[in-house]
Amino acid sequence: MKKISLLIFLLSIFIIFTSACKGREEPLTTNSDTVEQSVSVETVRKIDLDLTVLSSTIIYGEVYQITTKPDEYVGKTIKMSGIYTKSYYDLTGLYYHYLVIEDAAACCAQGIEFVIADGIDAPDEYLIEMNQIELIGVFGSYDELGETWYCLFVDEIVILQ
Amino acid sequence: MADVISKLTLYFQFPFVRYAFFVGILIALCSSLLGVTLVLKRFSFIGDGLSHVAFGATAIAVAMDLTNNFILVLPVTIISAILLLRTGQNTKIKGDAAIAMISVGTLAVGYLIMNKFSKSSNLAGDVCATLFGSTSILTLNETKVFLCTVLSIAVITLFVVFYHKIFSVTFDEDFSTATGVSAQKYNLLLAIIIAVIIVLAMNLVGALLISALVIIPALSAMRVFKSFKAVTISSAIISVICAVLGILVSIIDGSPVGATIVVVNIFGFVLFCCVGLISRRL
Repeated sequence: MKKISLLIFLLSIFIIFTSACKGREEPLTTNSDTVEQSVSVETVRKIDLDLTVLSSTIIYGEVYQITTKPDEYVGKTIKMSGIYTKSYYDLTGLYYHYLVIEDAAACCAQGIEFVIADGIDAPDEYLIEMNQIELIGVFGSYDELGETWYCLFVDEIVILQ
Repeated sequence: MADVISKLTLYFQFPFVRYAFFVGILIALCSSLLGVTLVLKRFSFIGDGLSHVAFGATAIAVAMDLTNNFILVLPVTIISAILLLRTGQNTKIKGDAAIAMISVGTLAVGYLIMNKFSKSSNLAGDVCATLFGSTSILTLNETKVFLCTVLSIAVITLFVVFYHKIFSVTFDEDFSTATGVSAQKYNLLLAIIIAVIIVLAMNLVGALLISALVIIPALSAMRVFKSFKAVTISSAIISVICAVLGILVSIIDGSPVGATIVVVNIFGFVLFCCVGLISRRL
C-alpha cells in the first residue's frame, strides 16, 4: 500500500512538473510582436499551406513540389520561413527577392522568389541578406520577358533574426 | 506520443510522403532478397561498384537534362553488372580489382561530368542527393513511382520463380552445373537483378549507401537464423522494418532519409548480434 501511495505521489509530482514546464515554454521562446502578428493572421486569413510547422525533410519535399508543379499551388496562401537573398538582373534593371530553404542535409537549397505587395514599406529599409525571415502570401505568377515566372505575392513579412 | 501521431497524420496527407513510404518499402524488400546471395557468394562489394557506375550514368543524365534518368541509368548499370561478372571470371583483372577500378573510376568521371556539363544551378545539391540520397525519395513523381513499382514487382517475381536455382548457384556452382543448371545463365540473371536493385535503391539511400541496404539486413538475419530460407525471409522483414522506421524518424525529426535508414539498419544489426549471442548461450 505504501509503495502504491509513493508511486501515485511521484506520478502526480511528474504531471505537475511537466504541465508547469509546458506553461512556461511559450512566453519564453516567443517574441510578443510575433505572437501578435501570427494571431492576427490566423484570425483574419486562412493559410492553405504552413511550411513553418513542418520538419525540414518535409519542407524540402514540399518546396520541390512547388517548384516542379507550380500550377497546383497558384492561388494558395502559403506561410514559409528561410534565408532572405536578392539578386540584380541586368535585362530588367530590377532587384528580385528570394527565400532560400535548405534541406535536412543542408546541402540542397531551394529558392522561391517573392514579390512584396504594394503598401508594405520598401524592403531595402529592413530586409538584409542572410536574415532569417517569415513570409505569408499568395502563390501566383507574372509574365516578364516573354516567360511566366512563379512567385509568392507577399503581404506579411516577419524578420526572425 | 500524441504529438508524433498528429505530425504523422499531417505529413501523410502529402502525396509525396505516401509515395516515399510505398516505394521505400518495395526497395527495401527487393534489396534484402538478393543480399543473402551476395554475401554468401562474396559479392558484397559488387553493389558498391555498380552504385558508382549508376552515379556516373546519373551524372550523364543530369548533364543531358533528361527528365527520366532511368532510361540511361538502368541499361548502363545492367551492362556494367554483366561485364563485371564476366571480367571477374575470364580476364587478367580479377573480381575485386575490377570492381575497385570501375568503382572509383566512374565516381570520378561522374563528378567531373556533373561539374563541367551540368545545367543545374544547384550542383552541390545534385551531387549530395545522388551520393547520399538526402531527400531523393521525397522528390519522386508519378512516373518514377510507377517505374519503381513495376521493377520491384519484376525483381520479387524473378527471385520467387528462380528461388531454387538461385539457391543452388549460391552455394555450389560446380554442383549446380553438374545437375544441369547453367550457373553462367543464372549468374547473368543475378547480375541483371542486382543492377535493377542498385538503380532502384539509389532513390532511397543514394549511391554511396546502397551496399548498406543490401548487406546489413542479410548479415543481421545471419546472426540468428541458419537456413537459407529463414535468413532470406527474416532479412526481408528486417529490411522493411528498418526502412519504415528510418523513413518515419527522418520525416518527424527532419534528418536525411538515406543516412537515417542505414543507421536504423546498424542498430538492427547490433540488436540481432546480441540476440544471436544470447540464443547461443541458452
